Amino acid sequence: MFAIMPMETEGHGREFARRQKMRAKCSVEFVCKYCQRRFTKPYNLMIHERSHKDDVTFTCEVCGKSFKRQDNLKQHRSIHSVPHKGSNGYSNGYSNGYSRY
Amino acid sequence: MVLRRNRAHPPSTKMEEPAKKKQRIINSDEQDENNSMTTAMVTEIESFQNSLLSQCLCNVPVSSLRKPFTGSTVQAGDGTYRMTTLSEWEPDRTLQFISALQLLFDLAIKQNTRGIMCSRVADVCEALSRNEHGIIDQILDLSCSPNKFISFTASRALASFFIVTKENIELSWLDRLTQSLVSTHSPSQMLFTLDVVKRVVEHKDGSTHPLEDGESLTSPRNCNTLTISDPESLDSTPVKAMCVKALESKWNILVSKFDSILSSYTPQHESAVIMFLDLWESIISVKANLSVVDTKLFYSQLDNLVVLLNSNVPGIIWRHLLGLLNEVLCYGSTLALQDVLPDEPCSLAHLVVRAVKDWRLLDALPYRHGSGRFGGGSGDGDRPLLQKVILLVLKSVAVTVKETRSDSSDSSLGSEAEDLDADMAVIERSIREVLRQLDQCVKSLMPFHPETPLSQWVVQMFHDQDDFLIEGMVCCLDVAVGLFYRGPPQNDLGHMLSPTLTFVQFIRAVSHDPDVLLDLLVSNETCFLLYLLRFLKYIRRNWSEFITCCARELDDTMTVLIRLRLAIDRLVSKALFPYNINPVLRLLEKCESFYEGNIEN
Ligand SMILES: [Zn+2]
Ligand SMILES: [Zn+2]
Repeated sequence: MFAIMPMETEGHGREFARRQKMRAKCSVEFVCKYCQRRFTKPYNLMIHERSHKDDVTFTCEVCGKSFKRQDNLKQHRSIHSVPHKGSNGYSNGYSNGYSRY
Repeated sequence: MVLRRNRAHPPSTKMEEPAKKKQRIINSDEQDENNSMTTAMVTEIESFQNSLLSQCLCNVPVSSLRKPFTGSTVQAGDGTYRMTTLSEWEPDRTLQFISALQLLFDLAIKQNTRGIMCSRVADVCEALSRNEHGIIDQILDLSCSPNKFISFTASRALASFFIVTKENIELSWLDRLTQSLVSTHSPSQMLFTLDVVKRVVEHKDGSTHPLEDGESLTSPRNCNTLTISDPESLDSTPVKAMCVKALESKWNILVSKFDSILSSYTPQHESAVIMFLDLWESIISVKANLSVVDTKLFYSQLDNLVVLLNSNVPGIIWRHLLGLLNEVLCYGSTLALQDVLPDEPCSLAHLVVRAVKDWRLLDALPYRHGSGRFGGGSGDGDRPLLQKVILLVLKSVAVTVKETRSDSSDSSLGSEAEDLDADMAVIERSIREVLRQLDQCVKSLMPFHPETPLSQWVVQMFHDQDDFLIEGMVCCLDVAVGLFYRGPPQNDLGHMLSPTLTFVQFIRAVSHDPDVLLDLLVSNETCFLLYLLRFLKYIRRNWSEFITCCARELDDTMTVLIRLRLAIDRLVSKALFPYNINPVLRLLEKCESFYEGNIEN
């Protein structure tokens, strides 16, 4: 498979040498567990890995229904007879958060 | 096993012409018999379907469970009896049968996700995976059914079957699928294979509808359940990889095939071409969670797609081509975060920059010279197409700038500063021309004020498309930071790319509501975390420029940021923030302290 894809074509020798050096210089690498792409900073890897995941949801603390957006959850809360609101309005918003991973 | 006692139907070996087996004439007596038999079959399938709807097959007698799968017999030319195949059935009956299988597989997937399966459901799926009665081969035969409903239903069922069966699927099935895609001239047969593979690749493990009722997932009381303890049983990655592998072996031929279809495009190929491009996009999409090592081949031959963006190709194909190219340049999710960019997206980005600058790509945009205008979505207007092309240009520019910076800043080769300055001067000239043309194109199609800079219209242009909006803002920000490393330039480019103008416009667009920002941060549907992090770093370094640029809107803008900081604080103190947000929090605090110092002075 890789034979079909030469890494470099002639004329880009300088660029290629640079890349090799760059790669060598970035000795510590953080590899994405989903796609094996490489990153040099762990926080960058974290940001990248988030994009692999299914979207997080906001879960209603009364009935367990999930919503993609907080405003939808807020709107939904009003259907419960006793208005339920945390001290700051954000409580329990993320209970289901990243449970899948 | 439920179906084991039946003689397996010999699998048919050819995919091209299953219909040729219709060799007999039915006399009237047989016809009556056949009709009553058909009626019996229909009721068997109906009861099978009803049981599936109640999520359990335990109370269905084994004998009747078997019947729908065995079909009816016909007398062949030589006087012997043989089973009819699905492709010989009445269309309605075939449809009903395939739909019942679909229901079965979907139930199996759902129960598998839950970890508790009806043991009968598991048995029937397993029997099918051993290809008993040759059912799977018969479904594959339906790829050349002249009835589009049948081939569509069949491809959907087959995809679900692959997901249920996982790595136990037979390679010969995949071979038949890909081979037929290569050899057929029939668009509907192409669609069949493309649809199967696309559905498998796009399948999300463990995704149930968020609003799905908890109760609907429980089994009936008398169900003989099977508990699945193997966590691997949920993982569809291996079967995805098998499908991609099967496609890979024919990929170069397929790309050439669709390339020639596109070069002499006719509307009858529309759906096959779209499906092909969408499948390609799905395979390389970050969301597919496939390894870049396994999908390396799918990043080749992309450059030719830019050439296909011409006025001979209709707008709908443009949209899908642009969708694919935008996915290759996965800037906000990936490329913006990497220090060494892979070669393929870089070469694609260079080509797009050249195509805009030297070959007037934007002039070829469909509808551009039509009577209608973009924006309204009626008539010739096609705002989504314009949005996609704008994003592609912004990403290409951002990748080009980023690549030049990271290459030139390598001090081990030549003299660092001179190299960088020389390279950046060349890049800046190109980028300026590309952005000038983009600005001109957008203003000729959208009712923006001629004085509105790109840094502002980018927000207005994408106001209905969160993910495009944020990624576009990241691109503009990175281009500005990349180009203006020696301070703002002495030309119009500084205004065109002003990160503060964009941010203020964005804050206006969200009505100064910090909750929207919080939603965007928590959700991973956009790259807002990356944007905010980089923007805050930018204003920390360029505080006075930020103040000047905000002007009268400084207080309103800072109020939003302060309220956002308070909201994040509250969540963090309760350990409710779903990831480590501290870097953003620190930057927000820093900017707040600058602002307070500012007020004091
Ligand atoms: Zn990844
Ligand atoms: Zn059961």
